Amino acid sequence: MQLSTELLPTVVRDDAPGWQGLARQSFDARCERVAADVRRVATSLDEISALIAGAIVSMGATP
Amino acid sequence: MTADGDELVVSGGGSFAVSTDEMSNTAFRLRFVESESLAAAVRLRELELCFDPHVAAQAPAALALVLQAADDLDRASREASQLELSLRLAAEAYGMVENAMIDGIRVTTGLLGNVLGHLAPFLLLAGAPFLAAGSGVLVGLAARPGASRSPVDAAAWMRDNPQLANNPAVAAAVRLLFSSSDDIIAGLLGVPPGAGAAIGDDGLGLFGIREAAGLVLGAAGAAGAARGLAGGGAADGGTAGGGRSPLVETPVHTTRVGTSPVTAPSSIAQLASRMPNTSASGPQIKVEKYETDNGDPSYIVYLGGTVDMNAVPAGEAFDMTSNVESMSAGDGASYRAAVEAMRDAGIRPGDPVLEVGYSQGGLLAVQLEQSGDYSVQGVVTLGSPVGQLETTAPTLTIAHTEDLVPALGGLDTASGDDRVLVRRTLYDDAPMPTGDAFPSHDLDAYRETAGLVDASKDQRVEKFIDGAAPFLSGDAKGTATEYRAERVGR
Repeated sequence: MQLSTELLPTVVRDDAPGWQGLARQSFDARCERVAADVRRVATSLDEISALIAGAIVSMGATP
Repeated sequence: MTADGDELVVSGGGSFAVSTDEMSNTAFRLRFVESESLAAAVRLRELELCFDPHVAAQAPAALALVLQAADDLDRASREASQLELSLRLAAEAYGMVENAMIDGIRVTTGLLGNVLGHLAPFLLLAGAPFLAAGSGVLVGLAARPGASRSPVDAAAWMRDNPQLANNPAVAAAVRLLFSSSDDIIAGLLGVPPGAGAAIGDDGLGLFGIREAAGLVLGAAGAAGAARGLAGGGAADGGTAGGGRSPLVETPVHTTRVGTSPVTAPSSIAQLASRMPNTSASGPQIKVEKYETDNGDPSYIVYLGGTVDMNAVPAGEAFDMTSNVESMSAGDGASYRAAVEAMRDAGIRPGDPVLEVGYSQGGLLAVQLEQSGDYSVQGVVTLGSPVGQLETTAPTLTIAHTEDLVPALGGLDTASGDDRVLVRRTLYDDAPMPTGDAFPSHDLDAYRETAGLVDASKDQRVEKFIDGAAPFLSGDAKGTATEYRAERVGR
């Protein structure tokens, strides 16, 4: 029932089924997970950059 | 995210997939995320190898973080790849659902059309009194004070109220009706429904839109002959038709009206912008010639739309008679004019040609490609009734869902790996302009849509544009020659 209520209007409106309703929500949630992974990597790179900078500074300060 | 009016729906290209612009753009971004994440993960792992041991000793957590980041990027890449696949599956599913729905509706309307064809004589007989009464009511309504009394009034009403003639549901109904024309004819001839399907569009193709148009022409020719025998032809001599009969062909004369230097186009939008405007006295055909450094020529042929909508041919070659003639795969005046213009421009059988047509011009472009007389490398049609006309060369057909003209070509059944159909709904959210009876068929609206096609990330559209690249250099110098075609004689 859910499927048929999604299919007909989406075909009539030229929107793909699977690109609407529950399928779309699931797709968006998975896209958000990918974005979260990439954001986490960006944060990690900032962290790594800070750690390396700190290491270089401390190496310079070491007698 | 684009506004609905800017959203394209792409289908064809040898696949079931029907994808919206938003899906194509998302798929493009996902492919980008997939490849970039993977490349970044590889670079991070390489970084691990060249990590200075002194720095690593000072910041031991950094190395673990690098490996963790590389793993995260790998996961993001895999997930993006899976998402892109599911997007493609959704597009395929959409295409399959759409095809199944169309097939179901087609079978039903085919049966109804056949039954209607069988019953038509009885319906006419039984319905004669009702028709007479209905006509009386209509005449009475038309005669009431303040009512429209002339076709001019009706045309003005259409311009002020274009909603009905530019309705996607009406256009869809017209598509079905024209696709069912073979069934109606089969029914009229007394062919049973099953046999009608076997000899119609879905079967042997003995009856289809072309044959239906041919029957119209045959009937018009017979009527014209009868009129000539009865002396009717001379009765209206000196009128716009010059004594010609409706839908009966005449000779045509094609004249070169101008030549000018031109730089090659660089996009589909530029092709559309160079299309001759629909005008009663202007050129209908333009041929651009470019040459490589070796002197090898290539040509872009632009074919305009219908200028004269009257059934009785007057002087205009791009008229309704040419339309119906082309629909029946005949050599209408506009087709012969195009052939004449191409000959005058010096196009030889092996020369590469890109055909671009608007409305009737698109029909001609497909006909020229089908003739096999030219080396057509690509066809672009804008708002043309070519949905069932197969082509071998890569073909991009652009149609607005509200536009009745492409709907006259029936359901889009032409297929092939190089056949791409782009649809756009103009007035889902935007208000429909008044002052034009068919704004959805307006050439400027198609020019705007062509711009959106250039921006599309759909791989089938990109493939077509890449294939047309030799014609779209954007910097080659050439000459443009314009032609005006007129009917002559009787």
